[in-house]
Order: sequence, then C-alpha cells, then structure tokens
Amino acid sequence: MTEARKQRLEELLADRALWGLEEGEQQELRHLLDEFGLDEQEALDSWETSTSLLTVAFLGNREENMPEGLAKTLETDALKHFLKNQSMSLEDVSNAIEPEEHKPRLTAVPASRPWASWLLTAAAVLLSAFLIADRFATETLPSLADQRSELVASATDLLRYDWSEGPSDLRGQPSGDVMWSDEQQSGFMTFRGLPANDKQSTQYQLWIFDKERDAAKPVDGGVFDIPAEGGEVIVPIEAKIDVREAFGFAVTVEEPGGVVVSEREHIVVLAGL
Amino acid sequence: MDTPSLTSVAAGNLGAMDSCLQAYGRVVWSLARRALASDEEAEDATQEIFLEVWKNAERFDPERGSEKTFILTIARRRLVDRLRRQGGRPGAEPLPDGDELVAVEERKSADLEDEVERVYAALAQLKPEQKLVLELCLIHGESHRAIGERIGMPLGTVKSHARRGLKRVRELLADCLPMSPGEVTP
Repeated sequence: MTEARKQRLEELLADRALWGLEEGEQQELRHLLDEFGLDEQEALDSWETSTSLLTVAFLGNREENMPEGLAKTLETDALKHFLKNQSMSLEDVSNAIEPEEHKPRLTAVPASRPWASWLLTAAAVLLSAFLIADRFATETLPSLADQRSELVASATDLLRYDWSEGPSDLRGQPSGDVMWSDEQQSGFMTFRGLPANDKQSTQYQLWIFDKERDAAKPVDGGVFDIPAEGGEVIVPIEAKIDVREAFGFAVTVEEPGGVVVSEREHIVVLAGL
Repeated sequence: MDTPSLTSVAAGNLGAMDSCLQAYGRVVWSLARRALASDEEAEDATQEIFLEVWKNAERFDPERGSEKTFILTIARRRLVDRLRRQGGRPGAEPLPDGDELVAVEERKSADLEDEVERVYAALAQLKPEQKLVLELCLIHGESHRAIGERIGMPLGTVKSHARRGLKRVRELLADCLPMSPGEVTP
C-alpha cells in the first residue's frame, strides 16, 4: 500500500461523499478499493456518515417546517408503500391458509379452489383495509385549534399573554396571543394581522425568555410562516431546548430558517416583556 | 425512543413511518430546500428521499449510528445525484457571513445529543476556510467549481480544503463512524 495510492483513495472517497464522482473517477475508486481489499459499500457508508454528521451540525437548529402539502404527500406516499408491502404479505397469508401440503386434498374439489383462494384473499384485503382505515383514523392528528384547546384544558401552569406590537415597521397590525406550559414544554401562538412573509427571503422566528437563562440569550422557539390568505393563524411553538421558566416572548423577522442569535432588528410582536 | 422508528418501519409498522416523518421530515426538507434551486424541486427530492428511506429501513443498524445520520446519508446521496444530474447548482444563495460560522460553534452549548455535540467540537477544530467550503457543499449543495467562483479560490484549493476538513473530522470522530475491517482508517 503506497502512501500516495492510499491518499488518492481517501481523496476519491471524500469527493464521492461530498460531490459524487465522474465515471472515470468512479472506476479509479473501484480499482483502489479492490487493491486495498475494501468493501465498496462499507467504505462509502463510512465516508457518507461523516458528511451526514457534519450536515447535522451545520444545519443546527435551522430546521424549517415542511409545507403542509408536502407533509400530506409524504404521509400518502408512506401509506402507499405500506399497502404495497402489505399486499405482498397478504399473498403470504393466503398461501399460509392454503399450504402446499394440502394441495392433494384441494385437487379433489378443483372448481372451488380458485374461489376459495380468491375469497380468502379478498376477505384478508378487506379486513386489512378496515384495520388500516381504523389505524389512520386513530392516528390522525387533531387540528392545531384542538391541540391548543387540549393544552388549555390540561396544563396546570399555563402562561398566556396577548401580543403587543413590536417596534419594527414590518409588524402590520398584529393581535392574538401566546400560551405556553413549562411542564408540557408545549405552547401555541395565535396571530391576526401579522403580514404574510415571503418565505424565500424571510421567516418569522419566536424567542422565549427564560428566567433561568441569560435574558440576552432567549431560547429559539422555531421559525414559522404567515400565509397570504389572512385570517387567524395558529402556530405551534417548537422550543429547541428545554424552557425552565418562561416569562416573555418576542417574534422577529429573520432570514429563512432563522438565526442562532438575532440582531433584533425587526421585532414585530412582544408578550410578557 | 426505545425502539428505533426505522426498525419498526422495517417490521412493517405504519405508525413508525409517521413517527419517522415527524422526527426527520423537517431536517430532510431543510436540507433539500437549501441545496436545490426551487421549493418544487426540494419537495420532489424530499419525497424521493423518504421513499428511499422506507425501502432501506431494514439496512439501518443502531449499532452503527443514529437514525438521523442514516436518513441524512440517504438524503445527501439523493441530493448529490440530483445536483450532479443538473451539472451542479449555480451559487444562488447569499454567501454565509461570518456570523453563521460563529453560530455553529455557539451551538455547542445547546443541550444536544452526544454525537452531535462531538461533531460541533470537531468542527471547532477545523480551519475557517475548511468549514466554509464544507458548509457551502453540504448545506447549500454547491459544486466545487461554484464554491471556487463564489469565494475566489482555485478549484484545487477548494477540493483540498474540503478533503482535509472532512478527513480531520473523521479522525476526531473515528469511534462514531462505521468502519469495515481493513478500511483506510482516519
């Protein structure tokens, strides 16, 4: 193993994980992996895991909510995938109901077998469909308004403030409230009159002031969008770290994805401060 | 979470798929949105990534890393493929300023899982130019050529910073990474 070839192998593995390789480079990588007796998939997994760990760190808490439409599409895709696999297993079930060793007995009534098999399969499919429908009915998340009502009903330490206007010119004519439970680490904001944001250039970001933390470093409560449709908008609070004793809230306008430390240039609403 | 979602997904649990979407949908979407040129494309990519996750769930081994890392590995692979098909993404987003790079280090103090804390610690040991090149590649999906043009750095230097930075991170995180027997160790 010459040092130069080992170094070239590492370069190619790094490039593959970061940017992908051209066909010629890919062939070179395979030759080098063979030369060093390495498993291609395991070597790639290892380097790709490195880039994934770095990606997690770079993204930090700049995660954004998915568009609602996409979230629903992904749920549908998941269901389709599930059903696809489910139908395969139903064939297995059908086969299990009618195992190979019983064939001689069944051949005695050949006309009935296809129907019996079809009926068993159809029954299993229908049963499965009912079970899935029931499962989805029970797993469907309640609306945000319902979740907020649930929080109001269940939290024994609920903090609730009306929004007051912040100093920024971007504030519009906001009203609404914010509620939070330290115990449940959950809360909701309600807005009316806060201008819709262009999510390509800005997002709103909530900051939660915690009595047990430095007031100069409020907790990131997540980024959110206000759609153009207007009306009342309910936004769940997604505190990135535990809030021990919340006492105030502020919403700022930031770059898409939010920031780690706000310049507080555009504070649009405040509560409890 | 006692049983990893992906283990349950592999076992055919529909509820686990939902848990997985809830837990990792945002991070995959955020990555796709930053790497790709339009929301529409990012949505397509996110769909594609999760289909790949469902298909490969049985490959997940909790002994070899976290679910998040597993899913992001699939996500990165799909995004790299997409970007290569397009011939690399033009530098469409503003260059991250110094604050963003500082911010990565500040996040060390947040209450995060051990694995990620260790990556933050490793990141803090990289040279600023290594971090910058890696962030532009991994988060903004930029090709080495686009990065070079954006920050006025020769192509070879861009690659060199990225490779050295990644290699250094692998050295610092050696025990977090899956290694095959006889692999070139960091």
